[in-house]
Amino acid sequence: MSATLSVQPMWDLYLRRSFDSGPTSNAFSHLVRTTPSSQAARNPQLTSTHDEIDRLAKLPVGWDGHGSARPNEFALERGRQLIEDAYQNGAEIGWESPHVSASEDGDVVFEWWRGIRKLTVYVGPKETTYLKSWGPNIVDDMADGVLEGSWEAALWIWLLA
Amino acid sequence: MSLQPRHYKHAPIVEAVIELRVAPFVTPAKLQDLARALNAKFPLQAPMQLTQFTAVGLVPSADQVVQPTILQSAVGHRLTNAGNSRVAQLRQDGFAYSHLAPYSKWSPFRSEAREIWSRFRALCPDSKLTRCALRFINRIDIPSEKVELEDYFQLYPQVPKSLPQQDVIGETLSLQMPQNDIGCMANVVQALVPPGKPGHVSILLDVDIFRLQIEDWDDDAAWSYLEKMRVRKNEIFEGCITDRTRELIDK
Repeated sequence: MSATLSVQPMWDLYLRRSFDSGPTSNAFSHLVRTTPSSQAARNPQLTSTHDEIDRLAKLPVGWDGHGSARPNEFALERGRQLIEDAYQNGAEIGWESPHVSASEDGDVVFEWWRGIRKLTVYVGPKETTYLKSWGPNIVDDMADGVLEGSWEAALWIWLLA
Repeated sequence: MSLQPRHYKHAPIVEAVIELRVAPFVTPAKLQDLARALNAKFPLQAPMQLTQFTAVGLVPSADQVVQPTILQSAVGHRLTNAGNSRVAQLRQDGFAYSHLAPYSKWSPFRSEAREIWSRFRALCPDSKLTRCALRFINRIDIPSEKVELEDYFQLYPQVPKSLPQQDVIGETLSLQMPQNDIGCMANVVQALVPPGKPGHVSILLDVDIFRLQIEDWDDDAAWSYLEKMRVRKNEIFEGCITDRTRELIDK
């Protein structure tokens, strides 16, 4: 038996799109009525990225055979929230899952590529830094900085521009 | 078909969430104090942030450039216990408590959530409740490279036999279902997700039940209502799966 589809105005409040749940000019917004979800700690859309972070959490000291530190547990936690915040930001304009790895210092490393642009984010236990690159010249084709919050929307806009 | 709740040996719950939202919001300073106070129980803490765009997606005329405005603000703190099995989100607009896999039992989960809620509530005793929710995200890992959804689920999309190809490699089914009898909404999402184990097909079954317009409720009313929501969540879950899935998660 197929689902019974109906219009029930008394439930409109539950179906109204809030601004933060999608782009204002989404062509389908009047067709696909969605509701903001209850906020999970791990968005199901990010399952594979969280699984990758979980995999990093199990790495031992010297995991790369060169004496590297095991990923720092505070960096892992900050990385989990960064990816949630980045997704909540990026999903509105287009999301791509990052490559997830660890640095020799125990930071969590997220990398995105788009054409010649590459965005690398290093999440440490207390600080998050980024590196933008758009060519081979390490002076003229790169920029770096420190994230003030857990994520910076301008980075995503730069990557997708 | 039985809709009776069962306790499965290997419940496929990857995350269970209890969420309550409030207005007026809680101040950042108070949230910071609570996060510090909970540090012994939840030593892993990270800031949470909200990003909002304005003017995104607008189509400018030929001589006009529309620059998106970005509003970023800290909204709270994500607190995780040492075993990485519980996460508390302390947000300005409310509180969420998550039980990550492996799921244990409702009763202790609810008690833990209520204990932290009471501390959150102390920050905003005059705020009204605006929303309460219960969300259970399940991932069913089926040991096969190819499955017929109807063997494992009573909820599934039907591909017409007349279509030239029948294979499906991506699926998302999202239903917004008013629960008229108990006055809340159920969002049910079923989706094909990356395999949780090699050689498996993994299906997400996300049941998110919530109620709005509860400003006149006190805390006890909301927590009692969560029990009703839990019963409904179980009914929806049991109604969406088949015995074959029950065998799979009860082995």
